[in-house]
Amino acid sequence: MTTLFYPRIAGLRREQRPGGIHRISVPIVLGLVFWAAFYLVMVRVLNHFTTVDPDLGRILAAKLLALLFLLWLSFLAFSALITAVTQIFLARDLPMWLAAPIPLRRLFRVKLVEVATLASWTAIFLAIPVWVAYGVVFAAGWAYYSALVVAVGCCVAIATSIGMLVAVALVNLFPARRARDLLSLVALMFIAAIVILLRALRPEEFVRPEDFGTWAEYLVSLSNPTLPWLPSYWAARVLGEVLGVYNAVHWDAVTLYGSLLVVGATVSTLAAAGVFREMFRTGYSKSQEARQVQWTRRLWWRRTLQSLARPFPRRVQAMIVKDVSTFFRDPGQWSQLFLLLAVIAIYLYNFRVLPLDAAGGTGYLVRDLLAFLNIGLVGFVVTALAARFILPGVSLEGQTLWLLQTSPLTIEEMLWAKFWTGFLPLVALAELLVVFSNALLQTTLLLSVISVATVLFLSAAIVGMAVGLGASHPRFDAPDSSQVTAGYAGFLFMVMSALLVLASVIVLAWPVYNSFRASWLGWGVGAGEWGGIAGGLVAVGGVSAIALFTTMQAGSRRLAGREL
Amino acid sequence: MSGIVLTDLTKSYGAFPVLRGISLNVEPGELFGFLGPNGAGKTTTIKIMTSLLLPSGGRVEVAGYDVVEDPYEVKRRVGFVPDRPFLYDKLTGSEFLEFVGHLYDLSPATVRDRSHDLIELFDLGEWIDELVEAYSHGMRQKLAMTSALLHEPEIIIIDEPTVGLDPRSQNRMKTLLSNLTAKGHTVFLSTHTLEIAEALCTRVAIIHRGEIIARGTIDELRREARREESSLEEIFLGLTEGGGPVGEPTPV
Repeated sequence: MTTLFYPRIAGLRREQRPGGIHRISVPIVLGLVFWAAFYLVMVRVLNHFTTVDPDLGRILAAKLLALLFLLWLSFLAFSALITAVTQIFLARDLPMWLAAPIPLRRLFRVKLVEVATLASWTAIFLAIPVWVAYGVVFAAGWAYYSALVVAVGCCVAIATSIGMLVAVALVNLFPARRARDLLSLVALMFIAAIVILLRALRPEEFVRPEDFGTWAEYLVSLSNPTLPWLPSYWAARVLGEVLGVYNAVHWDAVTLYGSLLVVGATVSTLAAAGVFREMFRTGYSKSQEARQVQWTRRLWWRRTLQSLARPFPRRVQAMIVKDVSTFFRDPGQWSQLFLLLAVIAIYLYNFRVLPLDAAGGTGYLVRDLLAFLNIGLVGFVVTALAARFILPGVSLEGQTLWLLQTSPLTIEEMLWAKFWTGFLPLVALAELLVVFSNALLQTTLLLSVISVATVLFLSAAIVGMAVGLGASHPRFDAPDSSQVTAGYAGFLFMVMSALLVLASVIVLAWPVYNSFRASWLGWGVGAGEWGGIAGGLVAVGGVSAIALFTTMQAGSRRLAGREL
Repeated sequence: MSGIVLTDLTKSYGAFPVLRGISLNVEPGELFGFLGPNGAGKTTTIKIMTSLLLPSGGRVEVAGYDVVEDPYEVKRRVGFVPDRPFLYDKLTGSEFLEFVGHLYDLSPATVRDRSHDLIELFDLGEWIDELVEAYSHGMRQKLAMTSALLHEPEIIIIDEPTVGLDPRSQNRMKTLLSNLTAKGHTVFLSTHTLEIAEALCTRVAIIHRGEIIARGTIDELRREARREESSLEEIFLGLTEGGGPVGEPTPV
């Protein structure tokens, strides 16, 4: 077994040598900042729950824990499914391993550990502040942290083994490239379903107790378990019980749900092992088959792309047409647009169902506040999309970079081509979100103009940072774009982008507040307010321009200095 | 027209020296063979000549331009085919050629005209509208060769031109290379296939452990190695097993 892990362990050791502590210190510091911020927000929310109304607060805390575990497990399951197909059928070292006399059961164990590690580390990293916040607010002892380790371990084992089982089964039905494409689609549908399910839970009703007949009905409604047949609920229930969220510790419930977790993990692992033993070889053989994509090879498609790219210089045009064509021919990429559509639909629907009337006479204050904060939300949506689709652009050139680097195409031209390919669709989407949500909120023209301008600046900066940081820290060895997003560049980009969005909202907050106040008090927006808003927009535009050009230049410089 | 001039070229990866001061002069219109065992420094030399790597020392001029000071002028004048050409799997062959043509500022009509004969020559016509991911190694090699010739480069640099090609394509490749030099193009050829070098190259250089240990025409090498009746393979084995330069190299 140790021999089979040797290449990875040796690779990791080697990666740590160049740059040493300096290379890893930045992500560690940024990670700690993220953890601290997330932890403080969670502690504040939980403290608020428990101090306002202890009974209701405990129910809300339990409900929130179940919902967070549901989201966490969904993320884990999605990640495990995709990682399983990649690691079991598409990994580059597979031919060498399969040619060696390694028993299948040993290969299964290695792949199980690989998939579990690769699929779960991000999910665990993100969730640690939440789990610690619960422990601190409810003054948990060793029992909680022990239960947490067991529950998380069981959830990871369940998600990983089910991911591997489904991957092996599906690849036997479809060739692996197709299976991965199909899995991307299935997984995205799965996520969209979870999001829609959460939407269907109507969380806005929690803030409208007047819709229920009695207070008791409201509490009962909140106390109902959320999807009790899922391991996420079992884990949340065990932890909730040990924390004392349900007033007292019910050890029978801890035993029941704890047993369900352990048995679930054991059974799913054994089932995955059995399916792997029986079906892996035939699946691997099938996975070598190829497939074709038709519609993007039609002449009209090519002509349309070429017309759209015509305003750019010829070499940039060539890159844009090539990048868009390859994107739409890789279903692993374009199928994620389904998720995007689901997110947009839910995003806009949320604004439609917001209970603004519940705020009574101050509804317009809430409306303006929401419209303003919406700028930040759209900024985060653009960040997420740029991280997924634009950041990996340079890394995906990978082994074909020789062709670009031996041609007269300059690195600047290449990066700007990638910028325009990402910026145009993303800014269109971002502006669409802002304009529609502002229309749904029936906000003022002034705020709409501020939103549109700010989102334009932010989109340019975010896309520029994605291209620039992707070029500064490329991963030419990454088998697919998700590993680039999950890597160092992705992390750095998301933190920098989040800081830019937050800084922009903060810079604009004061002048926007002043103009709102003038308008609410019936004074009318005067020259001072206009000046403040103009100054705020100039500042956001300036910071965005600096972020855009410095990261693009840094990316260009670092890529030029890189030897292939 | 200018050829290729390497003057005291050195390259190190960290503390490990890969090229230890090599000098070469490839004349315009010449078909020059660059030979050497695995790890001798052939690919590193080629990567420096094509601006993929920066030299640690020395000077490299390709088509009259310094590869460090004027890399873009060099790139405009060079066509490069690597030993393992990774291409865009999700483009069709014709789209790939159009893409490369645009990188060299060629119009679509020019790309079509220039690629037509090469596609025929390499029997790619049947496959040209299929995605590259369906191509075999040999077909990728032929497509890469076609794309490298689209902009009619002064200098063509090829790493292992016949690897993966079927015998008919190998034969056509040899004819093509001879025709190119006859038209005045300079071809710099790195290969392990000594028969090709012997049959095609006007001159060759043998690199071993980062140093040029022999250079000149095949006859000059025979004289240097004191093996008048030997084949290039025997000379090569004799020189590279011996491990050092043979006599005083002929100035080139």
